[in-house]
Amino acid sequence: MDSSFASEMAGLFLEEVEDQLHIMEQEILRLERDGASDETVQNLFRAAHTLKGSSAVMGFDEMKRLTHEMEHVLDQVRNRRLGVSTKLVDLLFQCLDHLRTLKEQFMAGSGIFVEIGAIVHELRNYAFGSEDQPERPKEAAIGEAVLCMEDPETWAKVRNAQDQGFSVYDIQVRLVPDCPMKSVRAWMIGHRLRSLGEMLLTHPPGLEELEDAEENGTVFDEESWPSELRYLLACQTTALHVEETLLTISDVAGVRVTPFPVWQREGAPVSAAAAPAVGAPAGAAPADGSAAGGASGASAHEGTGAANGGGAGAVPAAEKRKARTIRVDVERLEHLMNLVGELVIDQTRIHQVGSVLHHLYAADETVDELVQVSDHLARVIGELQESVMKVRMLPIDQLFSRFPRMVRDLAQSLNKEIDLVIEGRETELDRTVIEEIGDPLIHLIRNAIDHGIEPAEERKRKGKPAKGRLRIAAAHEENQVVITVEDDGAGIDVDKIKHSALRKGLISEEELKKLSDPEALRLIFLPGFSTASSVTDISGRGVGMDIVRAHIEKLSGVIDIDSRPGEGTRFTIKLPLTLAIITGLLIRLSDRMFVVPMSSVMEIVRVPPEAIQTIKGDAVVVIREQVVPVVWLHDVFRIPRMRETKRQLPIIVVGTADKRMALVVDELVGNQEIVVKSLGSYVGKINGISGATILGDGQVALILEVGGIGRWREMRAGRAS
Amino acid sequence: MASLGREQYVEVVIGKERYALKIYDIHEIIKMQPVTEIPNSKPHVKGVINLRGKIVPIVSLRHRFGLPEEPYTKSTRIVVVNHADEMVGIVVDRVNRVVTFSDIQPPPERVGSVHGSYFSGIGTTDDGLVSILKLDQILSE
Amino acid sequence: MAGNASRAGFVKLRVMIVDDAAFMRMVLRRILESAGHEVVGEAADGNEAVEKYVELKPDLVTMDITMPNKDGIEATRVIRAIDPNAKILMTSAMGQEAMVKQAVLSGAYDFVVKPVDEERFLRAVAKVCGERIMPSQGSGHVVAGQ
Repeated sequence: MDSSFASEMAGLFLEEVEDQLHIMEQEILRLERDGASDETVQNLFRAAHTLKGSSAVMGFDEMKRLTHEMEHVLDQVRNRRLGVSTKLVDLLFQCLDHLRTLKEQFMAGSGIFVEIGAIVHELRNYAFGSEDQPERPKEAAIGEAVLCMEDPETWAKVRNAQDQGFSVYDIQVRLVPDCPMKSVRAWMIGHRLRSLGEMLLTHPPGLEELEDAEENGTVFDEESWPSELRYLLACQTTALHVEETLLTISDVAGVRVTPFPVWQREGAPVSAAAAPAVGAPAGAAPADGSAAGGASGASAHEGTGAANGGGAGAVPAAEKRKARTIRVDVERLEHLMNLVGELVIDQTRIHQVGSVLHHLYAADETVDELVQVSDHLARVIGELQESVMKVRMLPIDQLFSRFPRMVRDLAQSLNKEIDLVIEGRETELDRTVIEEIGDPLIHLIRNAIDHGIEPAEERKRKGKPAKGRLRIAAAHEENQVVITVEDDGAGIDVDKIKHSALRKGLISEEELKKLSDPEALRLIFLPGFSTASSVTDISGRGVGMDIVRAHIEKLSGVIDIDSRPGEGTRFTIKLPLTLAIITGLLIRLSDRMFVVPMSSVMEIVRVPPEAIQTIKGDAVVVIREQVVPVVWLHDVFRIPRMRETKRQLPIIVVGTADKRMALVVDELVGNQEIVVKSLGSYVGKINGISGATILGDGQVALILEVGGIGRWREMRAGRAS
Repeated sequence: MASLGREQYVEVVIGKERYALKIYDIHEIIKMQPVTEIPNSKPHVKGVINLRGKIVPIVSLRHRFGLPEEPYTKSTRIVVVNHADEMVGIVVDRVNRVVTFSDIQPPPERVGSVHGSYFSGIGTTDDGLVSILKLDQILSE
Repeated sequence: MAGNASRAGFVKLRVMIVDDAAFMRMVLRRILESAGHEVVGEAADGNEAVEKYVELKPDLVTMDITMPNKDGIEATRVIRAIDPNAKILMTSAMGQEAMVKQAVLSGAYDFVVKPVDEERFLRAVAKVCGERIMPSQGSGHVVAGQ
């Protein structure tokens, strides 16, 4: 009872985190794109606040701490004490990444969490530089250097401490404006710091000494005490720890701890070496908030084809919709789906029994009625199945909403300008498909940005707009979802592809001559193909199109490419709406039943045995003037081939546009809706089989994975040659 | 009850030997069912069955224990056990009875031709010794 | 950290109030209790403070400075000698700067200046028990996770 409550709590918490992170991401992007609007900042603040509250309830301290700091910074932005800069946007993105990692680690349940000290430190530094003027230039290190220069003795102390392996921190503390007894406060801060290490210098001066409080304590001129205090401390602790210590003192409004640069003999700072264990200190090098802005970056806007407008106008509608939805555990849905699957199976049996009875007792009215009820039941179950399937559907926005951030980061790192257009966010497809299609899409997007879209200069030279355009779209087409990734970049040079394929021995010269341009383009899907001339860390060597294709085929989908040199490239992916229930073609091999997903079936033919010829040891058959390699499924599954006594062999042509196979089977049984079930992790991955289903008579039939059969054929062909 | 406080086991027979499985690990015991073979799978995996709508893999210990496969008989049973959050069916020639042991000794190096690591111990019953199967080990790769 | 950490991140503290002025004790008690803390005891002078500290082992002591019999500085020194982890928050009047310093040197953790500002006082209390709380510009910042 208790533990199930706890896991339910955790489940709800994680869902909320996911929701809030999603909001954060949207709002940070909006902040970057449109600048600080009250609404954006308020939404961000609220998201951080919500997360702080719920992570506190869950006892998730790391997340609570980080969101607490975020909330503080955002509160200052909200109150116009802090401006919005690229630095802030980057910082918020970093926070988002940390929160995502934390969430995943929380899910993993190991209790091990990413170190958030560095990011907390940066947030505080950012918050510190605020009070009155937004975007105040940071002159910390420079100012302190002057301080040291003025006093050779201090300078010597700093160097001495650093030589001995101490960290020297420039500590700035701001007191709350109406702080009473500032002098005592300042002294007490100094006192606390001295418990951590050796005080080298204070400003105002004199705070470092003081065991003789009594004599010292007579004259106080509170008015003249500044609210900003400065200490130079040599110690062996981290900047974060120093911060933590100071923040537990009351009337302290803000703290900035900057590691002091390590000074070489002649006085030039070696700034990089000064980085302490806590991670990248923002203050160590003068951070210019505007450096990253302007030159690069990506903007995203709602595509014209999209139904909802996005942005502020869409909020009320979204909120209204939210009120009418409920959360359902995915497992419950899966269970529901399984039950519907059972119903489908039982219904098939009832139908079969009905037909048998009808045959036996053609004149019996009761049997007639049974058949009628059975037909009605079939319709109801069909609708039920469809409804449950619809519940499993999610808008693809779940996936697409990750792209603006990714495109932005990639564009920035490659110094390219990209206009991202996303269309059809509302297109729904099965959640498992959404989960699986992410990686291949990301790969295509990376390729488009890395290799497709040219740098702005080059684009201008070519007379193109400086900003590249990347379009990601989804739409329903009959019983499929079509996803398009399209760029207006350099396009793909077919001749280069041909040469490359030839050079790598992926294709012979004669074969190449026969290829049309669209066919040649598809060579990039061959394993081991690569066109990238340069190696970047974005998409490696441009390899991986074969992996993308394999991934999509695993989802019973197909991918196609269209490209024009100089104009751009378009990838089109067609996917089934769901993977849970598919239309399968039942076949028999010897005495065993298998299912071929109809999505893989291109056509079904019957040929006389002699139509199968052998060319260079490979069995082939000519279908519609195309030579198609032949595979006896018996061989794949080690089932003895039947004597070829039949006059016609049933053959199923499967595959994608670039790769066809003719599968020889013993018998075609028929089409049927089947519920896909996993073989489980104990059986594990079996090449050529994607799962199983339970047929009307209770028998288990295995479902073929056409991609795996293709690989089996290639392996065997490779071994033969 | 004599068994009070002692763990209960199910005694099964494979070939000529008697083995025991903790009753706690057993999900159910069913009669032999038509098994759908899975081509190219691990040798000890005989295939899968449909257990009330669930796909359950079926394992033969004969291969593991170095015994030849025998045709199934009327007494052949599938002992469905819980293993790593999944159900796995183990084919046995016969299910004898539920037993408790008056004494359990650590397993020897070998039990017949079978390596001792497949057993968690040797249990003593009123009519002789029974080898207690170590589920994780016999179901592992 | 002392106190019963409830799941909401708010740490409820067991507090002892030391002040020779009954009115001041009442004010502090009201503030603390309204914030959800528990006042486990009161003391009107330093001697009583030490006795009750040993008996009650509170998470936090608020300590007035000038009191009859034994003053707050001396009481702080003794309590800290008995329990080096004792958390003592001085409540000082304006003009007692030197004494505040001595109290800090005697082991006081922090100080607030009377007349106490409710929000500032509670923030100081929270900080003593390790909450890192920024002064808020708006509202809702007084205790994290509230």
